[in-house]
Amino acid sequence: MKKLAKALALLLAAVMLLSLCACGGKTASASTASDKTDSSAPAKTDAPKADAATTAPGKTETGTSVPADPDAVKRGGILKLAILVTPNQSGFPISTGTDQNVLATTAIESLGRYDENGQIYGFLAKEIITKPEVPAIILELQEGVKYHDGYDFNAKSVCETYDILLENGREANFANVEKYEATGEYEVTITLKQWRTDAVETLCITCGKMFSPKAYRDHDLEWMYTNIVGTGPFVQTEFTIGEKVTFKRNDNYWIEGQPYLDGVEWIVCADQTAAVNMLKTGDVNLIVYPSMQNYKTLLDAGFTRYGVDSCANIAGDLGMFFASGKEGQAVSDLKVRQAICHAIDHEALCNAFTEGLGVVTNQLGVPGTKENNPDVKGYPFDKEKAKALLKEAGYGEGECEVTLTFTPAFENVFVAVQNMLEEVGIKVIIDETDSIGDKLVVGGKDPYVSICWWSAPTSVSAWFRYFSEHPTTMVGDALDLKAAGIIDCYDKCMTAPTEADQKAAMMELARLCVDEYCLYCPFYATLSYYIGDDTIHDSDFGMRGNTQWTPETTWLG
Amino acid sequence: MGRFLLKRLFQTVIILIIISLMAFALIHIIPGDPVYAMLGSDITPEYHDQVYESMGLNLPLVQQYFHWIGNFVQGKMGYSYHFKMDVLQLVQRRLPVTVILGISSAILSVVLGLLFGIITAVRRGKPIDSILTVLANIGIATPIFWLAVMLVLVFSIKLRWLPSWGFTMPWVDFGKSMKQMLMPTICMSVGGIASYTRQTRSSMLEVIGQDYIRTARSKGLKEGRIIMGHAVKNALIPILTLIGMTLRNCIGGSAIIERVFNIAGMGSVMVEALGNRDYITLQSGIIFLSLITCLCNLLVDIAYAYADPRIRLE
Repeated sequence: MKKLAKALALLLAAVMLLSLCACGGKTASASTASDKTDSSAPAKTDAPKADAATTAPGKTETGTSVPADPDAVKRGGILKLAILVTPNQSGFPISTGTDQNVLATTAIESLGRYDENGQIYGFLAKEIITKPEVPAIILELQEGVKYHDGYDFNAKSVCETYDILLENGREANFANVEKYEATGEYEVTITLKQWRTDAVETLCITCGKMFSPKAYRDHDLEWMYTNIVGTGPFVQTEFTIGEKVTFKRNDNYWIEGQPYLDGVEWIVCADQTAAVNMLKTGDVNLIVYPSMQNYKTLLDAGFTRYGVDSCANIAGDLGMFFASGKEGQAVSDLKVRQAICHAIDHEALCNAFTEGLGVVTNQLGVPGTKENNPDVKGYPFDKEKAKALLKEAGYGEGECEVTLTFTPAFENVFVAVQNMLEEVGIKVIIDETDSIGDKLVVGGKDPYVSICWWSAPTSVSAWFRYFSEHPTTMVGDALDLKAAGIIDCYDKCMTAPTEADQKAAMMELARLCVDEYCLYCPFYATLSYYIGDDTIHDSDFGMRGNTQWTPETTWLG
Repeated sequence: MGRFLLKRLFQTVIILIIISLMAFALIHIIPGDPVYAMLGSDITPEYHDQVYESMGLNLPLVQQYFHWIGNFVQGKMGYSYHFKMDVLQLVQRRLPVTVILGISSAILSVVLGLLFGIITAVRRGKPIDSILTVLANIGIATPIFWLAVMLVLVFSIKLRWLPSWGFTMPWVDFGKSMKQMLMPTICMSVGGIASYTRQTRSSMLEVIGQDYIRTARSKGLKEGRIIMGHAVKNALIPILTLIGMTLRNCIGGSAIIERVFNIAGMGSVMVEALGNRDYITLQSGIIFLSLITCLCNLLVDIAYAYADPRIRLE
């Protein structure tokens, strides 16, 4: 019996030792590079610094891709990336998310790209000439470019791509377009109904991803979903939904000598833990947007962050907008909205949930961007003030009831928000939903205090997208936006012919929406981040916008 | 035997009809719009309605059910809007992965479980009995996902002996396949091995105490022959039920393992289809897995009838 006890004790000790070995310490494959952000690696020396292509008239500079140190470049190798959502379409005609856009960029190029300040410069369109006085946009295209199927990229093909987008549910993007036509073999002239500051972004980025029109005509939409035929540095070789998407080098790429890699492989990884393990074992080089917790764990283990601490590269902002579809609801009352804002500790939320990648903000324009109005006071965390405002609004302790709608991904944040609101005596009903989209659609009918996602403040259009026709309905009876002057102000932002006019309108709009009418309550914005080993260079991952990267200059070494 | 089989087949059809109804109803109760899940919420309401109608989601639920089940019976399982292929094609691609994993783990469970069960029963009270019994208890209590993560940490990340993800068919690359299958198979079979060990031990102990075993011993038969020839055969009857359940659990419950090891099998298809409101894939997947369960049960019943003539007579 004694022998048995000894044997069991030894066995248990061995198991415990094995577990300890497995859990502790730095992994064998962990990068030897600094565990700080790799903001220098993916740098481009010739990034054009165009003057507000989205706002001011004139020309943008041409963007060609050159690595930071051309002599250091190593050729060959397959870049392997773990993607945490299943890409189930190529992004054509409608892109369904950040990750799918990042993936499609491997083979699809757009007419324009963002620079490090979030401004647009020409890429496939070597020059984007804006003429607000006409109003028109002229695209001067790169010459000698071919799609992967051999079709010529020229003015005719750009117009054909626009035609196809219009046929497939993208009418809203062309609502302001009077006509577009080929005015030369490599020149497209787009005549607008009125000058809008978001026109370049809409037509050169959102609808500027150049898929082969021939591929679409030769096949059909279903085929296009899983076949990415663009002009990019890599040609798709496999697209298996739920498994992987692979690309090989485009030997006929239009930029001489590029790309440097032999191929790119996107591995679909539905489980975060599996992706982390794959990075640790060296099976992938990079994870696209892991959870914040996994990002921190990997950073601590010595892996490299790809991204810069620039507010032009915001992965996403998180906050609430106040939507009231019925008159007389609690959130229709300005004082209640202000009380809710005062009750929320933005700093605490940011510290708790962003692992150092958050930027606290009291308005949609994150501090550090040109959209930010420093004079906006916002609603600093003050529980007593929140209680007093509720009292002024006629609500006693526990009498004010609001509904909080959010997706499971943000459950932790909104449970914290729920606690903060309950601390000042607001009763919170949780309405967790898988699809905020559904709620947005019915937002005009039902009373909601709801989660609001708004994307990168890289452009005015993105910044103010929640005040366009569709989101206006979400505010509902909380305010008559037209009477409040918000619609006029928004129109000025979008149609201002000069940057100064636009800036003035933006500042006023921020003041109206936050200080004057308290229509939303932003918590924080999160900077762009990717995490991987230290072998990826000149990729631009996380550097310019949250979906843009430069596969043609990327190299491994 | 023919009547027995017919009766069981008839029961299977009834069960499948009930399951199809339940699956259809439950899936359509889940909140969420498949079109928004598929295309995002940036699309125009007009385009949403156009796609919604093209998917047949505007039809009354009863009509949708009969349309789907009618097609299913004819072998047309429908088109997956998330996976962008016919569901039948999807099942043909993914099911073999899950079945291979399920069968290999079931075989491992049965072989090791029976072996350990027989050893513990024959060596009752000896150290080996105590060790295996303790290990079996640990095996039953060990959560699969924890074991999977620990195995990956030790054998993939620390020792770098085995790959942490993926699946290759054995006939494509046998060596790679074995390496990739080892950890998932162990994870899926640990619970089974433990259950078989305990069940076989109990069953064997009961049989070993029977008069006919004592008679065999008194006749001077060798112990090995008594155990293998007389005891095991009879002790196996209650184990048969467990075998059916193991196979069913391995195939139907592989989702966790498939996700941890990033294996593209049926389990991950179902989870993804659920997240993306891919109704057709979910419904058809559930029916497929139910069909496998029913077939496993049917096979066990047939095996039971062969192993125990009393059942045939009944």
